[in-house]
Amino acid sequence: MDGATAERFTLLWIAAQPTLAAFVHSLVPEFQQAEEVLQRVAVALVRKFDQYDSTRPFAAWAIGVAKYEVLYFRRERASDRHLFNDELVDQVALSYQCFVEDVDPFREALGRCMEQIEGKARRALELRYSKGLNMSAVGREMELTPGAARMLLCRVRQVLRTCIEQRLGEARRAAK
Amino acid sequence: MSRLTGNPDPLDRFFDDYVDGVLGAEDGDILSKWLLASPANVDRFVRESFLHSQLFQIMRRSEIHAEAMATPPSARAPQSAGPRSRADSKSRFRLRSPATVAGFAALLVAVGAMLLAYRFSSPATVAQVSGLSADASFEQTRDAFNVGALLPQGRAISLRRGRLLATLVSGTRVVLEGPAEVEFTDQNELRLVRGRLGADIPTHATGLLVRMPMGDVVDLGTAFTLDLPSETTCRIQVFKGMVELRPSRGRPVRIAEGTAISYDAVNDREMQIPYQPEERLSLLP
Repeated sequence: MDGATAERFTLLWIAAQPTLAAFVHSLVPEFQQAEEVLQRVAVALVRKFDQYDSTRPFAAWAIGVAKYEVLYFRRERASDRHLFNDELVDQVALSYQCFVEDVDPFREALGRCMEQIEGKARRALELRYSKGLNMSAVGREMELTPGAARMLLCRVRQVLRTCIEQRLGEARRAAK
Repeated sequence: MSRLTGNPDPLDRFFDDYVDGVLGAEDGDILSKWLLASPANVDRFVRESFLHSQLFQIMRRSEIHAEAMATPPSARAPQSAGPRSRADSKSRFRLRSPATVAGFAALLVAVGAMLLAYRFSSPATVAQVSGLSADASFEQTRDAFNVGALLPQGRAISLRRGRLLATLVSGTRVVLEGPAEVEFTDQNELRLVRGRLGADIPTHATGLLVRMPMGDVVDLGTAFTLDLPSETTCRIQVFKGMVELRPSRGRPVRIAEGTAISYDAVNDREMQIPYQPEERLSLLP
């Protein structure tokens, strides 16, 4: 890969990496394993970059490559219990490829919705996602039982889902 | 936003439990069957998993931004990497978030700088970022060092904390532990300014050269950890093969497998120190 191609790849990778990471982590829940798969995906993409058709979205093409890395990784660990079968992996990959076009509006909507999260809801998100605490620890920090902490986070995410859908709906209507 | 009462949709709870890693086997089967029932269900799953990953990125980015705003650059002290939970390690997700304009601007500046640099020269790629620990943070924008990012010749990394795994074109894998500064100078060559570096060198890549202020370290088929706490002191632990320390002043010193030395460049003196296999660096703290 020459310098110009490497530079182009890096720019595309930086833009697509969050979506690829979300895709891989959605199918390989164990964190370290998911990161290993993501690393393999990165290497595979570099090797196959000359096959990439630049008229198509890079992230969608990369998800196609990542799907095979996920499947291959799962076969290497055939003894592990996999919640999703290969057919479902295919469907998730296909859905992620379609979702690529919605990623930016989704992020924008989420950013706006996050601005409205405050108080104990914000605190719960910080503890769970920024500090990386599990439910028991979140509960301890907030003087809640683990079950109550779990419920609080479920509700916060539900609020975010509703807010995002509303904003995306408004954006779609405005575009018509 | 205060609609935090009422019970969530049971399906939402399945999603949440799945992404939080606490979904039981029975509920997992229910979720799997439900997903297979309709492509629309899979679409919903994709949005849920993406939301989850974005929350990790946004919240992590907010924390880093808050830290940066709260501490003047001159007063920022490096922090050591402590033990992290499995959940914590998930915060490794990264993004360009609309909610963190400053971070996005920093990314644009970084990309702009890369393009500008490329306009004047196109250095060869000498390494690729293969992994980051959850707590990795940089003096530069982190986005330039996402897993998979290619590192051109001459690329310097100032790792404030955490660990970074890079694979050189030669096949050598190096783990850098912050606080550390390193420059990727060639396909099997680095310049370590400060910090700890662990190297695992495959047979075909024997000959990794690590340049330091007080001299060079050359591997002779090995795995080792090099600790450079100051410009005049280094400590080397050799786990496999052999390493040669070549001080700028003084005679070369060979360090054999299963041994460790400390070298003082001011007095050109090496000293045996306890060999500690646990000092071998891996991506996980």
